[in-house]
Amino acid sequence: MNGTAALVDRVALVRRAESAATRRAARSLGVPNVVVGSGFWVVLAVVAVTVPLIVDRAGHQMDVGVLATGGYSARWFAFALGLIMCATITATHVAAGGTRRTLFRGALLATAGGGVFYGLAYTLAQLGERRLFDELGWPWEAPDFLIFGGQAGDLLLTLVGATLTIAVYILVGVAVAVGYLHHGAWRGTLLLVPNAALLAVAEVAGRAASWRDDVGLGLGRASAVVVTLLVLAVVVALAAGWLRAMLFRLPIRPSR
Amino acid sequence: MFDGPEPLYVQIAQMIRSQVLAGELAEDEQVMSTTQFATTFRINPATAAKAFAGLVDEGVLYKRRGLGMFVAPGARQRLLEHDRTAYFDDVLAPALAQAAVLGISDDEIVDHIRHRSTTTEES
Amino acid sequence: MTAPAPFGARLDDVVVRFGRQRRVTRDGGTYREDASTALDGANLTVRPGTITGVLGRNGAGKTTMLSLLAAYRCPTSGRVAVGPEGDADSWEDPWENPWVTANVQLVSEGGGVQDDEKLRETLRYYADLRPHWDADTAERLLDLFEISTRKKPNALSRGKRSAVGAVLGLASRAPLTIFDEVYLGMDAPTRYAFYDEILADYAAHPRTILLSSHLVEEVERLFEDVVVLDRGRVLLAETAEEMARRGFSLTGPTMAVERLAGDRKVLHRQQLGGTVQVTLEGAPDDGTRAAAREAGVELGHLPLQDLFVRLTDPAAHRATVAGRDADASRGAGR
Repeated sequence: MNGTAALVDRVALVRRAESAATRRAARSLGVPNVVVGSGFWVVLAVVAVTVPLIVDRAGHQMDVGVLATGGYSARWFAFALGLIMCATITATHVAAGGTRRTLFRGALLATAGGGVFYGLAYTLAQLGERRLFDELGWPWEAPDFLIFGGQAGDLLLTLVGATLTIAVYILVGVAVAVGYLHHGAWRGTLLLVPNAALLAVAEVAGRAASWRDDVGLGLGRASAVVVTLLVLAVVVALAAGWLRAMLFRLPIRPSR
Repeated sequence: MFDGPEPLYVQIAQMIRSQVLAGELAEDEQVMSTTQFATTFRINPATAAKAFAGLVDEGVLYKRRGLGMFVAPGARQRLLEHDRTAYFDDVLAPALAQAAVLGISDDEIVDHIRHRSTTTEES
Repeated sequence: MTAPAPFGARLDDVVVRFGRQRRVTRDGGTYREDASTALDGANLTVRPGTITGVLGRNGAGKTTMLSLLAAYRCPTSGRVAVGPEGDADSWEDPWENPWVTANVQLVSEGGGVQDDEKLRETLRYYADLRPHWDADTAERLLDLFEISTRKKPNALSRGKRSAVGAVLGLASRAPLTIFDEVYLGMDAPTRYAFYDEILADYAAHPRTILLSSHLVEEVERLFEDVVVLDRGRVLLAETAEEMARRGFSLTGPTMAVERLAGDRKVLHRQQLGGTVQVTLEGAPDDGTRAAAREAGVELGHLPLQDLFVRLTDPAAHRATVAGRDADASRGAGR
């Protein structure tokens, strides 16, 4: 066979195989997060609207909205989906000839998609709840997570912050699954410690608005925003690097 | 099928030869392709191909490009001649040796053959 | 795209060790065992374009070895190389190598599928990733094995799961396709249908097929080459024909058989009254054949199964090791 032609064939085949594998992994990891996540947000939205209306009819007033806690469960929801989908597709991905590298790239794409989706949903939900409280004539207090104030420009900051936070949750969810796949129940559980640490840093960073006064750092509002987004970005990078390190060593057990 | 002591491809070749000898495969008749043969008898296609290649070398089969393998003209005659010669060495010799061990004389054997052929003709 | 060239594979002194493992004792308790060795210096070349049988007792290292070729894991030491026929020097390490993994399909019993998703999802995954995937073949085989793609693999019987593996492996058309015990739970008609499909597909689309199985008698005729693994090493790797010449049997009157056997090594002897059957090492020559015919002794071939059992017999192994040790101590004494 002509050597150059074979090489061209090979380059084309590898490029096609890698992009197909990346896209398929991204779709398999990401689409459920958006589809099932949509269901989650619809339920959350219904509850967030119904509960204040009932409370209002009963003649009472709510101090904090449903979303103050709902946002937190949304993050864990994204985490769980990342974990489940990774556990579902990893063996199939490798068996179908995909590399761990393409699985990793797919996970990054899925994380970006899922992050933006949840970030948007979170931001819009906060906006909606605020409108509702205004309609009911209740004072609306921003939850201490990622709300940098009440101005329209702050919504964009909230969107970016929420996206980064969710990204950490999805990546850590995938990493937890990889830990269990590689090390089994015992050491897999031990690996929850570094994973939880990443989540904790993301949570603390997201609350910069509330703790910046408590610790007496005397950060201005703008600095607090910058610190929050910067720390979140670093945590996303750390989580991605951690996942990459775990994934690239992962052996696949041939049968269940 | 095919559980003799010889290698599988030898046994396959022998089977085809027997079919040609018995007239089950006529001259210029197409024989099964390697693939058909392999799947029919559930054997490795390379093994079947080796048997067929051997038969081509022997002149029992011939290849038509793109069509397949066919029984060579005169193959049956050649096999008959070959096997007739081999019959005395491979089949009759051991039988006669056994007869000697059992103390059966040549006359008895000849008588037996004569008697057998007359009864066969009558029936 | 032109039909891909069959892929071959090579192992050079490959060792695979697993970390500390929890093992179950005979009375049900557990104990810890330090690193267990799955492969212990395995050397092997898989010829491109062959159907090669991989035989070995449980724990011999078959699955571990096959996992290396498909980059399911990497070796503790040694070198694994996989690549297209022609230039064996250009073969590459499969680990994280998309050129190799896209061309190698390992199907293991019940593995490589999304258990809790409809089978359709798994098929889509393979169709997307496998460069030579043949959807028509997949559909035809699913039909043949009566598998519904609307079912989840978890809901399938063991035999049906194995059949799914057969479909994935055949439809992948991968230049190196590996079936690791993909027959477990299949009933006999399904197994034979599977063998027929392997042969037909192999004949129509030449590639390299590795097949590991414990049902030696059923599959031995499918093989062009045979590999026997034992205790993490490659005991034998040769053509099925060479393998068949490793032994034969003589059956007949004791005196005649003994005379024919001469000083050949006897592997096995079975006496039935005045008749004896001996299994001898090597292949019968023409002289032996003629003599056997004359003496009324029947010549038989040694089934691969029997040869395999004898080769991997622990007692034989102990004897060899003892002999080697004795040689070593003699050597040391000098």
